[in-house]
Amino acid sequence: MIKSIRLRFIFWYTLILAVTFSAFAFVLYFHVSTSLKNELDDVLLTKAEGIARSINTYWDTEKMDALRHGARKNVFSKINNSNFLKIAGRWVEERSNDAELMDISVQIYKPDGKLIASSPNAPPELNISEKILPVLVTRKTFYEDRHIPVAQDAFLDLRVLQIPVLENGKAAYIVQVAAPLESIWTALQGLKFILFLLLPVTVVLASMFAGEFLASITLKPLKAMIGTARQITAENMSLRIPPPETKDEIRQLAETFNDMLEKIHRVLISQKQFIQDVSHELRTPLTIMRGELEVALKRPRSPEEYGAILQSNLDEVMKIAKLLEELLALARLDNSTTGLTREPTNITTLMRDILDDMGILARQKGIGIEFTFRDEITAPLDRDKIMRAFINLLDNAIKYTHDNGKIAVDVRRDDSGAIITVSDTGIGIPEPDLPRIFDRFYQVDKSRSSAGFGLGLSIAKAIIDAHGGSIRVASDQSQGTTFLISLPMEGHNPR
Amino acid sequence: MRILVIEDEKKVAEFIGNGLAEEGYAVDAAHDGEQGYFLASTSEYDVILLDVMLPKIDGITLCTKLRAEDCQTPILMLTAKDAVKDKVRGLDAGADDYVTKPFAFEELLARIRSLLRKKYLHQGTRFQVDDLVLDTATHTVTRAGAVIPLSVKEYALLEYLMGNAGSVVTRAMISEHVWDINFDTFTNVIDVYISYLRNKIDKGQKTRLIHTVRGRGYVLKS
Repeated sequence: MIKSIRLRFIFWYTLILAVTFSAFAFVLYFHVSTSLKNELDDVLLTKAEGIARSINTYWDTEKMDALRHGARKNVFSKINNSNFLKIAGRWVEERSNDAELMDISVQIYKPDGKLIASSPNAPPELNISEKILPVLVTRKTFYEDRHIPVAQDAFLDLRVLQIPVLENGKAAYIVQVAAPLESIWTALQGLKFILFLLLPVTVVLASMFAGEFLASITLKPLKAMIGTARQITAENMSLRIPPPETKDEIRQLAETFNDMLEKIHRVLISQKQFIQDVSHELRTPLTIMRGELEVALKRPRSPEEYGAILQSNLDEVMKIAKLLEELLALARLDNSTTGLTREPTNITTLMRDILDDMGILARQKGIGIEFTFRDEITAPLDRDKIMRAFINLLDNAIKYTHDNGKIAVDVRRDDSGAIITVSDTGIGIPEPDLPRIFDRFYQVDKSRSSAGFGLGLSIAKAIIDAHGGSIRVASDQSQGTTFLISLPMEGHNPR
Repeated sequence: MRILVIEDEKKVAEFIGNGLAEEGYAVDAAHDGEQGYFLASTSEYDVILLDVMLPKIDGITLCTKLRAEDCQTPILMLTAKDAVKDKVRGLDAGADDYVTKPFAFEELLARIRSLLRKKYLHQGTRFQVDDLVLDTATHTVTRAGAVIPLSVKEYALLEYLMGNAGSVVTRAMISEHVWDINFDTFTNVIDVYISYLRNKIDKGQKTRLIHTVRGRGYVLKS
């Protein structure tokens, strides 16, 4: 098996051309050689018949003369007639040098194969063999190829035609014409040389060059792509392949490749950002723990002081644990293989349960929660995950709503499924921050400490996305924020 | 020496404050950019520790602002970002140094000492007046080779006096650099601590080093 696409291309190109041209050459050669022979045979037949006619005319003229001189009719049979032998001999003498019989030798035989007359260019060895004589006289024509020695080691190839000339149904004499096959052989030899040597060599050479040329113009844009692709590394992800000016598969390949690079690039950037965010979130608790421990270790302390430091460190450990737990939740939601455990869930009941729990937090700030629903809706949901999403949303709503504010939750049904709205009278989200609030670690007020990690909304969105639903946000900085969640009634995982 | 810590993460500000106080520094803390700006521009500090991510005014802006107002106090940036461009941004805004969180507390102390050295223009960690030697790295004080044990506050007061050896320091200057903002300037605490120092340093010595300048303050000289 040829490994290189270029060699394979050339190989097949050459092979196909070679097979096509060989078939063509064989057909052509066969056709030319047959038609040349047929043509010669036709010429020989025409000549032989012409000769026979001409001799018969000679004879008839002679016969008329003899009749006029009162000869007997039965004397006029050509068979075994010495007069006919003379006339035939005379015809050969007078006519065999005619221009139209050039290259053609003529010999006249008796029906028993004895030679009557012979043109000067007829080789002496040309006779009628006794073997063919009985067959010959029963046929109209008899062709054969003869190989006649003319000198030492010299042969003459001849195409020979014998025709018996009949008189009253019996062979009266035999006309034999012969033409050298040399000219046909020469023509065919030339054709052979052209077809079986010159043509194959030319075809193979030409197709190799053409194949190489075609392969290189086809592969050229690919080579450019390979060159660019080689330069791309994780640090150099902004490089793109210049798509060729064509409208073909190569361009599609380049565009597909560029699309793929773009996607990988985006993933890399967001991963990098994510890692930076994670390490940043870990830094604060670690700074506190390290600092407090180092200061504590500088001198002996009272048990109360140690206790306070350990408690403070424990709080920071819990913060780190919570961060890891949230990151793990996100990673699990990102991982398409761990699907949701869906079961038919009554959204109205679910919301009421959540609000019962969250109500305690709300009441501490004097926030009233109003729950309205128009329909009892049951949808296939992963109950625990969906609960977590709504708890995160409500937790945010409570956190960012002033004391004695109001939160309204509404559940209803529309064509697309269940619609849940969570709106608050909180501080709202500034317009420029709105598109980014679902981003991981995104916090509107970046310096707000103890406000969490900025993962709550990302987790909520990831859960809703995993259910095939959607979450949208609208906010007015003077009136509060509204989240609009839609969940499909049919459970099909989006992935 | 008096240090201002501007840090919004309260627990971070707290342990830095406690740790520095135990080293004899007077520490004030601010929890946002505005409060920090107010303190930095109304009181005299020897070093400012400035967090980068702050509510109201961020650290970079605050640093630029203080420098624009001709504040010469050494500023040490506390940053959670360790990318080169973040450090460059901080230093270009006028910070003198930076530490990346989480930092080793000893490193923070060493960097503070380094900034103080630059401020008070002396080399190394040792101050010397006559045969009195104070080492800021080991917090040891010796006179004629004999170690003198000092309390944290006594040490801080002596360090300030030795840093300004030869020139008169007023009670106001001492209260600003050795005590924090909660110090009540109308008490005689400074005079009490001066007398503690005299007892430990000058008592029984031929040459007295701590002198009272009537109506003005004190001077440390041989």
